[in-house]
Amino acid sequence: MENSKSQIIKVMSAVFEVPIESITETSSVDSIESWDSVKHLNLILALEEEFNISIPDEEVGNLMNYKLIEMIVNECRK
Amino acid sequence: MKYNDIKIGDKEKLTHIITINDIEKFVELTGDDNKLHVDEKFASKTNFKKPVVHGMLGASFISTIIGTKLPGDGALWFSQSLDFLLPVRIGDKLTVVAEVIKKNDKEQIIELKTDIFNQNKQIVTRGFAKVKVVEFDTPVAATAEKIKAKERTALVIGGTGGIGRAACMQLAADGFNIIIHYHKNKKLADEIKADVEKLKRKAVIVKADILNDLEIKEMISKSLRASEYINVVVNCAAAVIPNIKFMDLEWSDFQKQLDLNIKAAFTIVKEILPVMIKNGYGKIINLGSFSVDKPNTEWASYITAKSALAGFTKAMAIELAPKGIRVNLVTPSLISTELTADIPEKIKLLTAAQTPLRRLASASDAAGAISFLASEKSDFITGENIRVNGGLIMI
Repeated sequence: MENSKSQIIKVMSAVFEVPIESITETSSVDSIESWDSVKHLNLILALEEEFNISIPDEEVGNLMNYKLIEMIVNECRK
Repeated sequence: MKYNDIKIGDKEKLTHIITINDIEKFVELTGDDNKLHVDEKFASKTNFKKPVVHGMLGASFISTIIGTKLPGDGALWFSQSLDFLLPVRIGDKLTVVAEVIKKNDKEQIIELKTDIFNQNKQIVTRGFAKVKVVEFDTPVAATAEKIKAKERTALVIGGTGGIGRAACMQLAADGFNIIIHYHKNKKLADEIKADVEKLKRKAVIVKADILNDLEIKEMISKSLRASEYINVVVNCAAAVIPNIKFMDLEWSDFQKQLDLNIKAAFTIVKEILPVMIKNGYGKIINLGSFSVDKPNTEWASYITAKSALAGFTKAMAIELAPKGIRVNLVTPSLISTELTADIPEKIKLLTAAQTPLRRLASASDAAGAISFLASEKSDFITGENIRVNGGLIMI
């Protein structure tokens, strides 16, 4: 699980173009200024590629903060 | 009615069917046992053929209409003319109509046309009345002031639940004495009682299964022995919300929720109302559910019952407002309490993330709205629903 945490942070850092150390468990669409609709789609694609998963359409809009991303990624990996 | 509220053309009416019992009571009261009224044989030998009802018996209902409706309390009836135009018989349905035809502002006197009709719309008695409208203080405001000056008491139904406990503590901090209702958790009720007492307020605990009408009656009776000035009732009672797919629902599932949310609220209000009406002041605060505005699946029975409670709140509000009783709803969004313990963490995270203020509601958020509705600051608010949801639902 710790591994997936660092992977998610790495993906978020790359997609949003912010330093890795700035991403925390409380990071969200409110705290990352560069998190816009285009970057959100890039985030989905990057997470699917990183974890080799397919994120269902109904979950796309739910990836609103780190905790939800982690929860949904882990659900998709099951 | 107050003089200034009465307009020329204002009309009131009442109906009454004359029975033999009415005649007997009238004879007993007045001693007028004229055979034309009470003796069928005697009456048969007259032009009337059948007994005739005392004219003043029918006319006495003019007193009822003046004393209770137009103008009602404060009426000083000092003049009445009467012409008895047609005989009235036992079994006749009389309609007494009073209409304001003149006003004397200087003396605060109204003149009324007072006519009595039978079931065939024939006028049987014609008359005119003069009534002075005596000024009086509005009892509602006077009593409300008295209550505000005295000790205020709030009865919190479901006082040991998450919101109930927060409501007890907030209202105690606001200066209310608290009657804490519980069903099973006496230990927690005692704990809350002690916390309230630390705030130098009186606290009493009352036990009841609110699905049992008799227990509700006993609870209210015990509460009233503790304080005759219960002017706030907060209805926080709740049970764990069952997740049932629609195809698996039985009517009994709905019944359980309706009993808890509507029948219990109905019985509690019915029991407490006479006291609030007597005091001329009261606040009833019900707890709604955000799922009425933003429904989710598998909660059909709960959503239906909470929707009914929202309607019930408005219906009570409009009917009880003239008696000085305000009825409102507080609708918090998802709160992390024992009640919502079974809701998946993901739903809670999503709800918080979708809420513009970016968190779940807390029991103290709901208690804040309850505190406002219980206070005199909200005395002009009734039939309202305060949504405590961080902007999640805006209507």
